[in-house]
Amino acid sequence: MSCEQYKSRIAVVAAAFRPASSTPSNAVPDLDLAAHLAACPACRAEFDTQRALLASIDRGLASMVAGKPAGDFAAHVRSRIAQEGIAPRPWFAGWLPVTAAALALVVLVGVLTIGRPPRLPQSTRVTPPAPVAPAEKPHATAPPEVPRTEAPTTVAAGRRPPREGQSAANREPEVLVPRGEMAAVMRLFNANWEGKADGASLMAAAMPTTEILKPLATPELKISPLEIERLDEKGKPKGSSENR
Amino acid sequence: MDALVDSYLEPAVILDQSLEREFEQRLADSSALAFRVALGVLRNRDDAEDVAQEAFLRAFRNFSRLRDRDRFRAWLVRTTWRLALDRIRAARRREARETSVMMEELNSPERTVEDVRAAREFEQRLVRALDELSEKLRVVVLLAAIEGHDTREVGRLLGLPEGTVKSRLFHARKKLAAMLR
Ligand SMILES: [Zn+2]
Repeated sequence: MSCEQYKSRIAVVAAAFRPASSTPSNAVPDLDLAAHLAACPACRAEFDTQRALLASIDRGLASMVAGKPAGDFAAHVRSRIAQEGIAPRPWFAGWLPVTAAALALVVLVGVLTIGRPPRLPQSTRVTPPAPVAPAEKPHATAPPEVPRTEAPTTVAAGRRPPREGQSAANREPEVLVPRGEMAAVMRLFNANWEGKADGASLMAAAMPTTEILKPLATPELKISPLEIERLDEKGKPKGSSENR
Repeated sequence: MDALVDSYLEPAVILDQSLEREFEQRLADSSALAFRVALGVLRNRDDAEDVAQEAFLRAFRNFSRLRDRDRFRAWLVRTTWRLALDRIRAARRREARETSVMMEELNSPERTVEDVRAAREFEQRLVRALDELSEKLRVVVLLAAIEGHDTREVGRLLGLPEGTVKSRLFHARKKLAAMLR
C-alpha cells in the first residue's frame, strides 16, 4: 500500500483519538497502519501533524466553552423572575392546548356528521326481509347484515364498496365528478342547500373551501384554547396578580 | 409541633416551597452549563450570560415538569442552544462580536507576540470551520468540549445513544481537521 493510501487512514485514526495529544502512536488500533508508521518516517510525521492539529482543535473548542457566569448570575435570574412575575405553570399546562385541540376536533367531527344533508327518510329504508326460516339457521347470532354482500352493486367501478351497516338502497346516490368540476358542484350544492341559487356566484371562478362548506361551519367551532392558555399563564386563576 | 403545623399548611404552599428549593439547586448546579452552551454559540460573555438567564426564566416557568435533574439539564441545553442561535441571527448585523474569548488564556507570560498572533488566526479559522459544520455535529462537538463532559454525558444531554455521540464527534473532528489543514 502506498503512503498516499495511508494518508486517509491517518486522518481517520487521528480523528478517532480523544484527546488527540495523549495517545502514543504505537497505540494505533489499526495494526497495518501502526506497522507502516513504525517503518515510514514521512507517514509518522503526517500522523504527528494530524494529531497536533486535532489537539489544537480540542484546545480551541475547550476554551470556547470555558468559564463561568458572573457571580451574580443566580441573583439576576431571581430578580428577573420577580420582576416579570413568572410562576411555574402546573405540569399539565402543556397538555391543555393539546386537549383543547383534540376536543375541538371531536366537536368538528360531530358537527360535520350531524350537519350532513338529510338522508332519505327512515320509512323509505329497505328493511331486511324477515328471516325466511330462522330455525333452520345453525347460528342464530349471525348478523342480519350478512346477506347484504349479495345486494346488487350500484357503485361505479373503482369506488369503494358500501360501508358496513349501509344498504345499497339507503346510501345517497353517488355521482362521479371530474376533479376540476368538484368546486362548481359544491357551489351548486351550497346554493341549493341555502335555497338561493344565484347564477352569478355560480359563475365565479375560485371560491375558498370555507365558503363552499359554509353551512357546516357552526359557532361551536370557535371554542378557543386561548382562554385556557391565559388562565394558566401564571398558574393561577385569571385576575390573580399575585407575584412570586 | 412543626410537623403538625406543616400538615395544616396548604399542599400548594408546600409544593411551591419545595419547587423553589429544587430550582435554586438547579440554578446552582447548571448555570455554568447553560452559560457555556450559550458561549459556544455566541462567543460573547455578556450575550451568553443574558441568554443563559433567559433560559433559566423559561425553565422556571416550566419547572413543574422539569423536576428530574437529567430532564432539566437536557431541556436547559436545548433551550439555551435555540435561544443562542436566535440571538446570533439577530446579532449577525452587529459585527461587534468579541471573538477573543480564547484570548484570555493566551495572555500567559511565556507566549510571544508571534504565538498570540498565530493563535488568534487559528481561533478565527476554527470559528469559521465550526460554523461550516451542520448543527447536529456542532452541538455535539461543543458539548463534548465542555470540561468534565464525556460522550455519555453528552448523550444524556441530547437524548442520544452514546454510540451516536461518538460517531458524530468523530465526524465533526475529522471535518474540522480537514478544514483547518
Ligand atoms: Zn508512508
